[in-house]
Amino acid sequence: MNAQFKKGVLELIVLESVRQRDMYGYELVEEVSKVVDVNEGTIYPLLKRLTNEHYFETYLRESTEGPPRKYYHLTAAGILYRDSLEKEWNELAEKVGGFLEECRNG
Amino acid sequence: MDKKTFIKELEQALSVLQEEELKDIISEYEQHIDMKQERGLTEEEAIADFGSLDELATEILEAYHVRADYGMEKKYRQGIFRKGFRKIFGQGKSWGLRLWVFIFAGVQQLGNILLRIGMFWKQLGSRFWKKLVGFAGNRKNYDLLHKEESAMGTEKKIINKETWKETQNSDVAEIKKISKIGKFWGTVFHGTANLVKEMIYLCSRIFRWGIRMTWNAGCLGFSFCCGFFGLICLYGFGLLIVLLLQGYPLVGLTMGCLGLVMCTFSAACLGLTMLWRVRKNTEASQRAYQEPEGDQHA
Repeated sequence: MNAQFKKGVLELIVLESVRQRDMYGYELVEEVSKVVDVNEGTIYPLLKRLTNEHYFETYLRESTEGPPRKYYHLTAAGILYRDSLEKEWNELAEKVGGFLEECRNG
Repeated sequence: MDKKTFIKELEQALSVLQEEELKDIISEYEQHIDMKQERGLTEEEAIADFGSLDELATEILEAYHVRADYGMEKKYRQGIFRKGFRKIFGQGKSWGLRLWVFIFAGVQQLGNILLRIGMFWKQLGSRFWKKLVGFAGNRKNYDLLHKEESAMGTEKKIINKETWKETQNSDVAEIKKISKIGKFWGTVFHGTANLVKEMIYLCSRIFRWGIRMTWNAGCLGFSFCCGFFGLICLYGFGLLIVLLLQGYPLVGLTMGCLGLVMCTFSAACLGLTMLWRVRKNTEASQRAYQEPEGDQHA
């Protein structure tokens, strides 16, 4: 899959995953990897950026094994951002789909 | 790459970040690697999944809105520019001294370059002459050449011998003619080159001397002016003291005049200490520099 495609939708996938339930970094990476094949290293900078832009809140929770884990939680601003991204995505998919359909028929 | 070096290199690449943020992001990667290991992967495999470390660091820095090449640029500047700068100016010296060192070294280098050019011309002249003589195959000159050219490689001697043997069989008059032309042009060339060299050397000396004289004249002029003004002030000071003793209210003016006298005299002294004297040891070193050239003349 095209790397630029991936980059664009990665944000939406991450936001949606965290909206379902709060997750810690590794968990999130696994979740995202199920949808798109992505370099694991690139998810953390994305999380960092979304946190800096206040779309995520983080908190630490003890785990049964190893050190405490940092969980990500979607904020109200994050929900709005996710919705706008989803809208954009749907519009784009519709337009591109329509264009391709038109070409095929014409 | 094992975990330790990966973490260390990542820390280095992200060193522009605040320590707290750096620890935060590093711990995420550490945990990620640990969890991968729990799933049965090796350290190397887990780290290989991250791809290129440079790209990773760039992406992390982009998330902070930091230009990824910032650190590198700094390092580059430190590496190239500062090293070069230190080489020119020297380390641990005051700014004034560094500037002087820079200027003097520059002038000295210029002189050296001019000298080199002169010596090169001279050598070219003598070589040309020797070659022509060797080609002409004059026996007498050849012997002379043989003695002179002890410094030159044996290869050249052999070649010269061969050319001599070849030319020995040819017309004697022709040889004599060529020999004469060779000797003449060689001498002319050698002489001209020598003259040019000497002139260049003389020019550099005159240039130095001119700068020194200009500087010294400026210094002397300055101190003489100051001294003269100081004498006038001293005269005024004496006059004021006499007036003061006669009861005139001139204490302030007298003190001012005294200050002026001291100022002007010390300025005159400063001018004298700034004179550029040629030290004896530098003269000796210059003589030593000239000596090997004297040998070449002979």
